Amino acid sequence: MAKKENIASVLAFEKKLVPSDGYMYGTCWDVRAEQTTPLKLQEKSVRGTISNRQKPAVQKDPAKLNAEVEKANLQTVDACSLAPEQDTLKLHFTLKVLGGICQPSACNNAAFKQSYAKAARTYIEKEAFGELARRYALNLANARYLWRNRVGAEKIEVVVNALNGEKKQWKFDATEFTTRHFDADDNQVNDLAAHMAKALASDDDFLMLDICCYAKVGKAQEVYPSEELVLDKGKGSKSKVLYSVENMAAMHSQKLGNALRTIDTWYPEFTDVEQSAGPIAIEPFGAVTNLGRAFRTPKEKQDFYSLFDNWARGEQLSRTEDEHYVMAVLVRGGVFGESDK
Amino acid sequence: MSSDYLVIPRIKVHNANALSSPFTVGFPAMTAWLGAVHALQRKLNQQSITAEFSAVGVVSHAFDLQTYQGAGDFVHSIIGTANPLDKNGNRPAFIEEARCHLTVSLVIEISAMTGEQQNQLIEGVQHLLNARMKIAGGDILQFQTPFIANDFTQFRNQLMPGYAIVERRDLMVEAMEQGEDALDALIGYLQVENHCQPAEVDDQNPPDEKAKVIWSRQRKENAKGWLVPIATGFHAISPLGQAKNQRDTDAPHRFAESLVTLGEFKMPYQLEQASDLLWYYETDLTNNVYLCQQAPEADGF
Repeated sequence: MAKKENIASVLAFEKKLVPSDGYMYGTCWDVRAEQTTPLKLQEKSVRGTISNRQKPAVQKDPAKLNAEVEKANLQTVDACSLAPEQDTLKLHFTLKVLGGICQPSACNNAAFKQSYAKAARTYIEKEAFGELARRYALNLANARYLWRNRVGAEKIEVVVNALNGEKKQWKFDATEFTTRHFDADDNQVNDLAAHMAKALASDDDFLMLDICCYAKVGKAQEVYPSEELVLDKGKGSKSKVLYSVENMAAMHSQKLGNALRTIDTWYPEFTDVEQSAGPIAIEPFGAVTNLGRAFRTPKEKQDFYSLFDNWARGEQLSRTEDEHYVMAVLVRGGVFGESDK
Repeated sequence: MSSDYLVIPRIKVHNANALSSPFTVGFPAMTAWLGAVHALQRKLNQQSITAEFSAVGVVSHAFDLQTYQGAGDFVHSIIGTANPLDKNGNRPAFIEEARCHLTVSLVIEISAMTGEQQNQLIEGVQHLLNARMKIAGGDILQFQTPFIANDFTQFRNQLMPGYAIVERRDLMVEAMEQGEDALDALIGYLQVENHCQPAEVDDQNPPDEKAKVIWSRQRKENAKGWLVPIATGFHAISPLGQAKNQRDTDAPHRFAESLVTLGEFKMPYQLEQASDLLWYYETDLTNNVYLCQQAPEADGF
């Protein structure tokens, strides 16, 4: 274990991929670049059915079951859909890629800071963020950040513009890129990745990207903005509250960020056909919320802290993939202080 | 010495901390704004751009607090964010953190500079805001090109439409001089009272049940304007010393609690000069107070 004078109890990193909220517009595929209208949330009240599991006593007694099922299950929810004449969803957001990963934003131990910075510099010299940037770029190209809106879309086009430095534009047909693996080798993606890698590896430079994603989902189809986390909804009966900014349906920046950093194919179960969850988001414990599982547990010494603590103090990691993973967690950012007890 | 003003228009900040003191939710604390500008100055100085930012004015153009109020609810509830699962795949406890999206313009007082220095400064500021800075814990998404002006009336209109936050500690001082408790005084200026009085009885048209009384809403007599509670600094509650695991081992540490007073949002066209807008750091070590305040000569303790 590390010596006591080498422990940073205050240690934090800012995120290096900074997405804005994603704003949702409706349009038609043929005029997608010219005409768009902001999508609004609609409140719906529906009469639902009682379809949850009932107690055995109720299940077995038809009269009781009838009485239960006859109840009106009234629900008020937010919803969002394209206008009747529109067939395409436009999702617009910006993404800032920052450098300066060698400097923690807060660190209270000079010795640790030095050994960490050395390890980070060695990584940058060796890898220059090539692999991570390639994966981030692929996630931009494959439109993973559409989440549920991506499912069943007929055509998806992604237009990425660099807003600073060399003005460049990249166009992708997202359906050509799978979200299952990162084996694709595409010139456009590689070029975008090179720009992102340059910013990530820099000391204090940045890259500002503007992303417009068009998904042809069908006329008047429902689209899916982020749902708000309201723990105490008060007296109101609304059971689902969706996110909107200035009256425009939107996706949380956190949700876009999670999709962009869904690049972890290095966790132990990935190759296991039964257990694998595909690429998962970069998280210190490899947590996947909708499975309620952590794929990198301290027991297997595959979590971020087990790897980072030794690596940042100058030890080599056995696999390059582990180094990619550790750096990707730092790009994600967070508070990683260690108890000094 | 004459001063110039560096104006950074329309900074869009995303997910900033709206929990400005332990008991107020709203516009980020003044310490956040002055702190961000001070951090900007230190980063500029590191790049050997000599600039001294002595005072800051904040003008809010848009403020979107992330709260939810359902139909018929009296109180708002905070819209939370979910934290990632822990090592066992369980959801950790929710910690309520109030966030806001906002657009502000900053007016920063700088000492007079030559043209060349000015260009260097503006380039440096733009780069740092894009690449290195956060404000009030939020991400800076975009801003308009900063510029330097020396006459307040020149750029006042560019701060419109918007609301400058100015200090109304005078109201607190006044109320406390009359013996009011500080918290009572603060709430007293913010509360809206509903009064009712019997309607005049008109014999020809006897009033129906509802119209027998007239309701009126009013605030405290001198509480005109858009008053808000704001956190403006810290009051030390322990002596200077070293604490375990403090962030910066070179600077002494002390425990402190927030100072909250009244502020007012005012349209910039109502302000005569830049000093009506600007906030300064003020340290009063005899009273153990670290404060952001307007007009440094004012004394209200």
